Amino acid sequence: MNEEGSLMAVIGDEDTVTGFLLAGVGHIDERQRANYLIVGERTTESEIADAFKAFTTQRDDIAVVLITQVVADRIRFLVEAHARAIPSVLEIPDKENPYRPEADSVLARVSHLLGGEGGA
Amino acid sequence: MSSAGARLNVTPTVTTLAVIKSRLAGAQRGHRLLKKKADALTLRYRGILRDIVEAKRKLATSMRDAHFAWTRAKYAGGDAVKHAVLDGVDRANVRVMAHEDNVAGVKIPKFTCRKCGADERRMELTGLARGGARVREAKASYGEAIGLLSELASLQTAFVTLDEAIKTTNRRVNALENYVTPRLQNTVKYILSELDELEREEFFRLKKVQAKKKKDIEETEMMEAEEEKRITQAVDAELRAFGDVIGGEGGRGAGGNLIESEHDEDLLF
Amino acid sequence: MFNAKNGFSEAHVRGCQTKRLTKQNYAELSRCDTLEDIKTYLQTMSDYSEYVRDLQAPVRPVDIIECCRKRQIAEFNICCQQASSPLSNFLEYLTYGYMIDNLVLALNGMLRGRTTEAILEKCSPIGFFDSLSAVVVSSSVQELYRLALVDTPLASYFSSSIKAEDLDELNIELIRNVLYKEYLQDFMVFCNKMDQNTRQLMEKLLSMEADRHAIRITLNSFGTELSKADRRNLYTNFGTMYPDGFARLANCETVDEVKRILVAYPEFRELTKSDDPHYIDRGLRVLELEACGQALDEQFNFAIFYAFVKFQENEINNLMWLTECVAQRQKSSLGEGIVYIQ
Repeated sequence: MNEEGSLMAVIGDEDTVTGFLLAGVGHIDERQRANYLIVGERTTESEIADAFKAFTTQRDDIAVVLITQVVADRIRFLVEAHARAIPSVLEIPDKENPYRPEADSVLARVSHLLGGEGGA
Repeated sequence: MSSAGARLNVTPTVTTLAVIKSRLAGAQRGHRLLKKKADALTLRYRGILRDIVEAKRKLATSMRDAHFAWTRAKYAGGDAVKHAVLDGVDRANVRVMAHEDNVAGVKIPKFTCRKCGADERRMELTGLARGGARVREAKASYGEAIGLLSELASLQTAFVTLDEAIKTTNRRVNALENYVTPRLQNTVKYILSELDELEREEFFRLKKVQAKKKKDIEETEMMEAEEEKRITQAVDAELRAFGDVIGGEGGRGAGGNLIESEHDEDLLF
Repeated sequence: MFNAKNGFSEAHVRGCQTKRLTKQNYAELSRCDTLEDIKTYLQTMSDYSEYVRDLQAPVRPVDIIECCRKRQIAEFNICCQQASSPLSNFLEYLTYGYMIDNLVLALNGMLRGRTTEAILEKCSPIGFFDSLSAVVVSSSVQELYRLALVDTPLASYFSSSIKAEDLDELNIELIRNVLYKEYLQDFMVFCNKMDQNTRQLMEKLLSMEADRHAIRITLNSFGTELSKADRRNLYTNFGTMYPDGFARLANCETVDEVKRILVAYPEFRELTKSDDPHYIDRGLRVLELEACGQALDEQFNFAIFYAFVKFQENEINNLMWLTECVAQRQKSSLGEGIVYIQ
């Protein structure tokens, strides 16, 4: 963690990403690397996967990765495989699709644990 | 249990026994402490699980509001506002600071959101003639969502970290419970039984020695007795022969005869 | 005389205008619960039929808006193709607003080193000008001005209020709004040279736009770094509220102060009756549409083309709001953003 603090990264549809950029999340560094990816109609799975991998494993200046659930569904295997504590990967709802807790990798794990405990 | 009967490979001596016993006590104390730690972690963990569910629910509402605030801004300002935001990206104003929280010796990263003041005003004229006020509302709304998200990120990180820590602790507890302690206990048992065995052997040996001694004594006595007997017999035989010579009398009641003859002899001499 | 030259274009505009969505259409659209329903409705019950026909599920709000834009551009282009001077000049003036937005986009893109394609993709086709791509590839603002802007109608807007040399120093929003102010003033001068009908109607419409521009800038600049002098500088030199009203607007610091000024003008009194700070913005849009509606009632003038463009924009805004509300399950807010006049 550097002194300035770490970044949040965003992967999602244009509106979601724009909203977060508006709030000041966006960052383009000296090497012209952006900390966000707008997923449009033409964006391929491998582009999303590359961005996700870059944000979660290759860059050390990112502490939180936000990814819309619809996009997360497209690279679900990678999201599930991400087990490290930092960066923290958060699934967020986009504007058109309501949040589905059951699809959220972390929440699924959490509710499973809570359910298991409730029964015990 | 698979490790039943397994033990350390040690020489069964009293000194080793003392060492192993102190190790066993250590393991048991460690087990108690780790168990306590696991309990503390699990307690915190359950709290976090509930908080995550709650935060995710709050987030759903917050994001919905933020998205709609942005829709209002786009409606009021048109695509120009969108492009201004997308093209205006430079350095991030929102940074995530990480601190460490300590739960029962486990370091848990905790995030807080910080806004860099310097760059804060850069985009504030966006939508000046169209939708500017709405844009600022949307910005504030996303700001709120980001606050919640950093909270959620902290919770989620804590969740992953604690999950790992609890697993490790439980592994240790289990190892102590099912492996280390039984082995030490078995070793103690082994040493004790070995020592017992030694004692028994010693006793047996002593007994053996005693028995031998006794036998030796007996043997000596027997040998002495035999010697005496042999001598007596020899004497007897001699006497008998002597008697035969003297009286031609058969060997009837040799003893009496012997004594008699001795007496006789005494009498004779 | 007017009909002989401009009859076709006028007939086209009036024809398009009869196919605008009506109150009835909006009411029925408001009952749709999915974007597919909206698409089906637009396909069967409106003039958007041929534009939305090929939309594939899942339909997103942007897809529908894209279709609306296509229709808008197609309709506008038909006007332009048939127009001869002076109508063609008038229609060109209508595109300058879009040109300014495109220029600002390109300028911003150039300063931040974006690629030409990425920028041109975002530009509105209505406001496209040939040298737009030259803006993006220029290496300095001086070069940009010399190569790309000098031959465009926007060039004259620079000389008076902002210097081309300052382009990289100034806030991009200031540039946009100064250019827009210059544009409104120039358009006013142009309209004053037109026939009497056009002149009278356009004066009213442009005055209203000038007022609206000033009021909105005032409302949107509260709490920002925009100085009062800069704000003043963005107001036009004409308008219903010019000069006293503008002078007073320049010093406002709260919505209530703005309301106290507006109350003095009968046409704006209605705007001050709500506590919602965004009510003024919406009210101004209604007023504009009403004025445009009146212009369409008149004959033999160019103002109908201005009104026509405003109605197109309004319909797109309405549909954007409608589709977004439906997509985000926020239908309770539908009334807030759908504006129409009967």
